[in-house]
Amino acid sequence: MSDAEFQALHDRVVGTQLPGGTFIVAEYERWLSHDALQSPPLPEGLLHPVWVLLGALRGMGITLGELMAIAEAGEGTMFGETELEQVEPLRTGVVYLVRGSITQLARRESRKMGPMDLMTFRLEIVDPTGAVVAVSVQVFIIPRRSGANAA
Amino acid sequence: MLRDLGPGSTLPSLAFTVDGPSMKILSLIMRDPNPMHYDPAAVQALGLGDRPINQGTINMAYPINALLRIVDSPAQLKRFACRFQGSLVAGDRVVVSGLVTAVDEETVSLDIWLDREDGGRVLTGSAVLARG
Repeated sequence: MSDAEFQALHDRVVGTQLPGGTFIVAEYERWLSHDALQSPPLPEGLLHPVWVLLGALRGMGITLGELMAIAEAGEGTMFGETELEQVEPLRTGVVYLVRGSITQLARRESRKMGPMDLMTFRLEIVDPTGAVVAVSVQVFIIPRRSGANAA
Repeated sequence: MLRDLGPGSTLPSLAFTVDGPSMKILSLIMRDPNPMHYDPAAVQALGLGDRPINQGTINMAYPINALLRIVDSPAQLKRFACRFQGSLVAGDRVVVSGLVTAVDEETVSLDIWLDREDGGRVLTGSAVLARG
């Protein structure tokens, strides 16, 4: 991908609003996920902080595959970095709204992987009162070595 | 526990064993169709060994679990960030370590990392905890 092609992709992708949607976590999902995460016991109804990421992905209104397709990501795309902010813990049985967008696409050169793009998307989790209770920021690594692009 | 920590304090080390069946549960919860988390044959076909590869979400849960053990309430975890640097497979043993970098009236800041017991960094992160 040439510099001009990258710039065009950047301009097309950055700022893309995700469809968004809602999610709710049932008590059995809390139990099973906490068991799988090897969580210490948490107060009844409160969700492990990893649910900021899980809930944001569940409610963003688009699959990860569809999200990666926006950035013309091909094989080898990897989860690179994650950040979560928790204003208050998420809870079971609450309908949360998710909204967000792709906030950054940056070109990098890796000695091991060659050219690659870092795509960042930011998702807010909003409770039924309209308050933002958590934020999830994800960075995916998209290899751009010749032949690695889906497009 | 949190109130006893000052700059330079280390977090009590905490070890975990990567559990294959847990990956299957997370795949269902995440609706993640990637077979590398549940099907050893698929992992083998990719030339990545013969054991399922742990989800990044579970890898990041280990250090968060270590943080949850030193607070009174999960509400005290205000921020957690990490960079993924390596993968884990079912059966791997890992250790969480951490170091307090700053303390003020309201928060405790830490660096935190996850290593394989047999060597190799899996992730590096940081966290901010509310003091109470």
